[in-house]
Amino acid sequence: MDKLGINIPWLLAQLINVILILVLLRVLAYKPVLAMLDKRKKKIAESLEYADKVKADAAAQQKEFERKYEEQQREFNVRLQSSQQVAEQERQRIVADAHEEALKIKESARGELDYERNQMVAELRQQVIELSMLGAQRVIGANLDQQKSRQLVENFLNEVEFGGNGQKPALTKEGAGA
Amino acid sequence: MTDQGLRLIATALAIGLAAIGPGIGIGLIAGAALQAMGRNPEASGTLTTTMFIGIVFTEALAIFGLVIAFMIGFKIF
Amino acid sequence: MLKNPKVWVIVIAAIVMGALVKIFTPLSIEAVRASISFAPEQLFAPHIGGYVFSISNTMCTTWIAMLIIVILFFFGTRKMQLIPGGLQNVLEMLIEYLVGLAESVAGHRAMKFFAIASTIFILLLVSNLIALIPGFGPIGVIHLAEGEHAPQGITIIGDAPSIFETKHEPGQEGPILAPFVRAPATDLNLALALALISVVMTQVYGFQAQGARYLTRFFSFGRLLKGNIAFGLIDVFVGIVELISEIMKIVAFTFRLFGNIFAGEIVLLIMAYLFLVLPFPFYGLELFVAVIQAFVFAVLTLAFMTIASAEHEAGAEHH
Repeated sequence: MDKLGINIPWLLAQLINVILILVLLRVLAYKPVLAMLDKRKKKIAESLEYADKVKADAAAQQKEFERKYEEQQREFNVRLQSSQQVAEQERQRIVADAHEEALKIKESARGELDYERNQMVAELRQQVIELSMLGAQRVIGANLDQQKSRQLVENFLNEVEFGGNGQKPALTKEGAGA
Repeated sequence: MTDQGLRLIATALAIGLAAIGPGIGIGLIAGAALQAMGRNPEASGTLTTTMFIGIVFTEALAIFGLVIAFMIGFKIF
Repeated sequence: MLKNPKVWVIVIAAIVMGALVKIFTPLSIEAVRASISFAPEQLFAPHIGGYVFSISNTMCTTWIAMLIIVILFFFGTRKMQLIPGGLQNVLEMLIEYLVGLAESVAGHRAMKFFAIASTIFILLLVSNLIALIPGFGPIGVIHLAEGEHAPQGITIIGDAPSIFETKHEPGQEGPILAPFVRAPATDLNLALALALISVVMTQVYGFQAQGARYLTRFFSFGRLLKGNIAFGLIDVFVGIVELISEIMKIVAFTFRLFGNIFAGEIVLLIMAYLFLVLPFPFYGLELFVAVIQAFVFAVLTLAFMTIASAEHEAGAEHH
């Protein structure tokens, strides 16, 4: 044994060396490094979890947003439609009003026109009667019965009117009435 | 034949004879491991480790012979 | 670390320097013989309190290796950061690799065996590798008798300081070179110490896992006492074989480590003696062997521990 180099003191010394390095490595290496590896593993797991959570949150938010957006879109559409309807009704109402107004204006204008025309016709008739009476007086030289001659001219004029333009019933009626 | 001559012969025989068996054995181990790797290349990592352990067990016999040869050669007994 | 090209450059430069030294000082066979010693050489013998402590060169190298490990891990783990960098990264990768190794071999018991196995791995790895630094081996103290000349290839620089007290065995022929630094694994004491720790702790874990039942692995008289003579005797015989194999485990661990590293050193020395550039391929081989031996010692420790503490199921089936 001695020639092999094995002796008890050296063996004991090497045993102590090995046990010493075992303890030192346990304190210096395994504990901190394993703790760090564990910590890192946990951290990575945590951050992965967190990332998953964030992803899920984002997806949920996205869905929520889309849902809201759709809802708003739908609401908007509904509102748009209703406002379009309202606008259409308003338009129709306005158009109808305008139409009515225009008709009224037209009507009133026509009435005025008729009135003026009647006025003018009446005036003209008066003048024609007077002129014809004046002319006839001159021609005959006699003073005709005013009432009678007037009647005559008027009858004549009525006849003329009937023969020429029968579209003036108001005039004839009036004339006939007079 | 001198003592020294006998000692040299014994040294050479000790390591020489001790190397035969492990030589064959390591060859068999490596051959089998290569075959296994050829059949299942995905397992080559574990196979290499196991092969080394097997080789070391076999090689230990040759190493014993070598140590005995040293002991004889260096006049330890 | 080996992926770092700078480290490779340093290693190659060291190899070249070693080769240059060998070109200018060729070895003689006497120098080779002086450099080979089975037992570690005593370097110091301090007297402390009436006791003489004999300190060998392998012991010094073990301390250097331990110091390197402690310094590396001290600075690597002093300010641990969540995002590792530099040394911390390397050490964490090493530890992570060892944890993975322990888990692949020992399964759920991995963390129990992890400390011993990885301590053995780290200690052997560092000590084997620093012993391979070229120029470490051949520098030392040579004890020359009166009128003796140093063999060719060994250059005497000067008288050794008086703190060195080398032994000179009476029966030894010729001078003995006691290198300052010698691979710790070439000391049978260290190899035996590691083997003892490994095997003894294997038994301890076996007891822890199985209790007294673990003893039936070695002394199983169950079937013999039941009257089953034939199988009982086989059981007893198997128990004796197991007992012997446990002792052989110590021997095998010791001599496997010692033989590989010691043979490697001698191979390098003899190749240097034979031819200048011949050591280079063997140098690569020895680097490989240094790592493999550390790895194998750790893995075998793990495997034996796993087998010893997992035999519970097999034992239950057996009875």
